Amino acid sequence: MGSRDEILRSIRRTRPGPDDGPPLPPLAGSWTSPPDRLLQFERQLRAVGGELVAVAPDGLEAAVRATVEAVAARVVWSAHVRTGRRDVDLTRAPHDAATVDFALVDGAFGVAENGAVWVTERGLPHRAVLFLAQHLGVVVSSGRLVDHMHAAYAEPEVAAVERGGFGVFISGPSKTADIEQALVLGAHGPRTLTVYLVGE
Amino acid sequence: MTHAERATRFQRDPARAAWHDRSLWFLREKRDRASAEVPEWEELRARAARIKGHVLAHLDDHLERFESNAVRHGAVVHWAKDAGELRDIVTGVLREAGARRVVKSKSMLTEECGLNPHLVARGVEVTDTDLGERIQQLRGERPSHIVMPAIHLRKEEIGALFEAHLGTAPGECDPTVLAHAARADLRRRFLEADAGITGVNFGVAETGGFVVCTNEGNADLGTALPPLHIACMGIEKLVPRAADLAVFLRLLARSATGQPITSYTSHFHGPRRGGKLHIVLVDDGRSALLGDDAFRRSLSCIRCGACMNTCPVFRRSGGHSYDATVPGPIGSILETARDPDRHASLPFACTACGSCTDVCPVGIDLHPQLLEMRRALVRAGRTPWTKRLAMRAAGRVLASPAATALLTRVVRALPAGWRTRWWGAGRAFPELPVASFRDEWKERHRGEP
Repeated sequence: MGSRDEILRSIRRTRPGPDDGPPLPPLAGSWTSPPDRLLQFERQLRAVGGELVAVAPDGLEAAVRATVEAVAARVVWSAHVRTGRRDVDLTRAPHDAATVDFALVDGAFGVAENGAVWVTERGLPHRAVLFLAQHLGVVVSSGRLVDHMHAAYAEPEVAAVERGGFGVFISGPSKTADIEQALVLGAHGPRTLTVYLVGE
Repeated sequence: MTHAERATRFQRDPARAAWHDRSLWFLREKRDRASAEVPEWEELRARAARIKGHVLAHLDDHLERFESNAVRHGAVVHWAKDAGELRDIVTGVLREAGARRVVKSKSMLTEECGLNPHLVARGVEVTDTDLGERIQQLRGERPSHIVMPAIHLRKEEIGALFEAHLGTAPGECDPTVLAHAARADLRRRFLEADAGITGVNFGVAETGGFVVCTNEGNADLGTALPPLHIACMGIEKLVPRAADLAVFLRLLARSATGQPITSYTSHFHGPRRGGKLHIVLVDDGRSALLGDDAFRRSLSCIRCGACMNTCPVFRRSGGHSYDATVPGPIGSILETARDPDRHASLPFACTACGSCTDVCPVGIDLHPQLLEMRRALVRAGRTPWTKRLAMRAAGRVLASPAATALLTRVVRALPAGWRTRWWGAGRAFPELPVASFRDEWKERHRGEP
C-alpha cells in the first residue's frame, strides 16, 4: 500500500497538468489498404518465413496430411482436421506438448500488412502447444483477412480476449538473428509455420 | 571511466569497430526499407507521440485503471518505488511459490534493477531465454544493445562460448547450428522452470491486459509452462486503449529490426488456467523525470533501439562504452537523469547530428534533449575541471578579436603535426588555406574606409 500511494502521489505532483497534455487522437484514420489483400498477406507471410497453402474446404485435409508427411511428423495434435495420425493427449499438463512434431490449430483471422494470424486458446487444451510444437499449422478462412493492425483490433476475437484470456498474433515461424544478424528460422518455438487459407 | 575512454578502447581494433559500424547501419537500412513500405509512417509517428503525451499527462489515472482491470482478470498487482523494491517483491513472490528455477525473457527494466544477481545470490537459478541475452549471460557480460544484445560478437566467439557451455563441436560457428544448440538447451529449461519472468512492451489501461513481443517465442514458452508468471513493467509503458496498440505495433518492429511485426505478439489478460500472474509496476525515477519539462518526453520511449542503430557514435563505440543498461542516445538521457554522477560523460558522446530524432518512432526530440542535458550537467558542475577551465578560457579568448587574431596566428604557425596530435587524432585534418580568413579579408578590402 505504501509504495502505491507514494508513487501515485509523486506522479500527481510531477505530471504536467491534465489540460497541458495533447488530447487523445481518435482511433479512426485513413490507413493504406493493399490493392490485393490476399496477395499482400501471402507476400508478407512468405517474407517472414511462413508458408501459405490455399485450399478449397474439401482440400484442407489432404493439404494437412501432405505437411505431416513433409515434416515426417510422428506425434501430432490437431484441432479438428484429420491428419492421418492419432492425436496425442494434451489434456493433462502443458509440458506434454513438448513431444508434438506437428500441431494444427485454428486462427481467427489474418492481417495482410504483416502476414500475422490471430490465435486464441479457444479449442486448445493449452496454449503451450502453439510454442512447443516443432511445426505449427494454422487454419484461416480466406474471407477473414483484414488489411492492417487497426482493422485487426476491431475484430470480435480480439475483443473476446480483451475480456479475459490469451491471444497472440503469430507471424511466421519462431526466429532469431542474434548471431551476427544471420536469420535462423526455428529459434525456441516452431521451426515452420504453415497457414492453410481455406476458401469459402 | 568516461565514454570517451571506453570508446578509445573499442577503437583499438579498427577493423572490428568498422565491422560493428556496418552491422548497426545494416539495421538502420532495414528500418528504412520497412518504414518506406508504410505510406502513413509519419502520421503513425505523430499519433504515437500524442498518445504517449496523453498517457504521461494522465499517468495516475491510467495506472489506476490498468491496476483495477488487471486485478479483475485475476492478476496480483504490486507497486515498486525503486529497484530495491522490485528485487524484494520478485524475490518474495518466488519464495512464496517455492520457485527455484526461473526463465526470463527480455526485460531491460529487470536489468536496470539488477534483478538477476540478486536472485542468484539467494539461490534462485535464472536463465535468460532471449538468445542474445543468453549469450551475454554465459559470457558474464551485460547486453551491448537493447534489442540485439550480442551484436558486438562475431559468430566465432559465440561458437567458442557454446563449445564451452553447450558442448557444440570445436570450431563450429554456423549460426543455425549454434541457434539450434541453444534451442535444445533452452527448451529443457522452459520445461523444468518453476516460474517465468517477462517484461512488458505495452500495458493497456482500458483492459488491464499487456503485450509482450518476441521473435523466438521465449516469453510464451516461459509463461505457458511454469505455473507462475511475473511481469515487470515500467509505469510509463501504458497505452490508454487497446486499439492504440495498432499504432505502436506498426512502428515497433519496423523501427527495431525492419520486420513488419515480431513473430509473436502475445496479449495477456489474467493468469493462465491453473496458474498465477503477478504484475510489478516500477517507478525507479520515472515519476521524477515526469516532472522535468526538458526530459519528460523521453518517457515515451518504446525501447526499439532505432536511435542506437543510427547513431554514428554508438555504431563506432559499441554499447558497452556507455556503461549503462540502456545505451545510445535515449540511454544518454534516461540513465544520466537517473545517475548524473556516473553517466555525466554520456550526453557529450554526441555529435548533435540529429539522426536519432529522425528515426525515433514516438517522436522524442532526442538531440535537443541531449544538448539540454549537457547544459544541466555544466550548471550542476558535473563536467571535469579541465573542461570547465578550457571552456572558460576559450570563451574569454573568442570574445576578444585581438586575442582571437593572435591565437589564429599561433595555431597557423605551429608545425602540422602539433595540430593533429592533440585535437586531430583519428581525423583527417584539412589542409589550411595559404592565408587566414582575416588576412584575406583585409587584403580584399584594402583601401576601403
